[in-house]
Amino acid sequence: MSMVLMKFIEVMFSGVGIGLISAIAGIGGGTLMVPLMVLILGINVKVAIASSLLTIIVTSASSSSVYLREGLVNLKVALTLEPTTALGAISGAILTIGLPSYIVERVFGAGLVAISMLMLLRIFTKPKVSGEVKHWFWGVFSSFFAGMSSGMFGIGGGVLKVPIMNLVMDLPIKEAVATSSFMVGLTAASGSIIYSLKKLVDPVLVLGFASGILPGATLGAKSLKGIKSKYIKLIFSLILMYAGIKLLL
Amino acid sequence: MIVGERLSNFLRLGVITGLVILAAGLVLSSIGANLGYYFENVGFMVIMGTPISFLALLSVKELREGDREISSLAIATLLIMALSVVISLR
Repeated sequence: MSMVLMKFIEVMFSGVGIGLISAIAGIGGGTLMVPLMVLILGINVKVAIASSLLTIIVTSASSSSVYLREGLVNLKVALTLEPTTALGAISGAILTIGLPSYIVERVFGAGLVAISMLMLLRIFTKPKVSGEVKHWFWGVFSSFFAGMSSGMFGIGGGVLKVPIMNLVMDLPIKEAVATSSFMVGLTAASGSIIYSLKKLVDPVLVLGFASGILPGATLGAKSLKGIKSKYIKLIFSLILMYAGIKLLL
Repeated sequence: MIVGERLSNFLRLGVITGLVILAAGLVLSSIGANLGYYFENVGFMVIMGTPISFLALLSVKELREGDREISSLAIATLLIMALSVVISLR
């Protein structure tokens, strides 16, 4: 069996696992994909980030097409926040490309620890269920940093976008999740343009993860409804924190 | 706001097309064909171009339906993305 095929199968099965966990925990796959590629598959961190961003475009397009059809995406909020988010993603990508790989690994490690703490905080924070959209300026301003984290770390950035829209701008949680899912694809596209220009994207990783995550997420959403997502989120946050610390050291 | 069936399906069909081209590129590369590399790049471009093309289509659709706000916001996003890429290429 050729090396490419073996790598594809390995990545695809990892993708199924990521899709399953993402669906149960209600998070994007990027936060899992990059640490898995770097720590387990031994892939260069910049290639991992670049390939993760391209995979995120695929998964976001798939989920947001459903949200768009159902009218759950708040296009006004998405398109108001997206220019600064895209700007942040492009800045983040340029920053990552300019830094040496070992520094990127450590910065990513620190970012993971911060993201896991944010996730822990979200588990114990009650989301707002309704309200009139407000604090537009703070939403637009903080979106830059959500975009930057996406471009720098190869994540969708939903972990920051959802709290910004829900807790800062008072967008109902269901709408915030759908709007973030739509924005994630646009943000990832902005960042991935920079990485692909530098030839950092690995086609086997993109194809393998995309073919694994999509059925994995469907399977997770359909068959594991009984599992308490709060505990999964807690375990997942702790795993992320461990991966972040491992990358930091 | 509900986006039409055709436009929302565009996103899904666009990335699937990109993945199919990417897969064809990988197969061609693995059998030693030079064409594989170009297919892979086209696949990447189709995937990255899908959400960007969606924005352009949304802008035209909203302009036709008289929603200038959404249309101009979509154009602003596209312009910022294009400008940032041009600047980063320097």
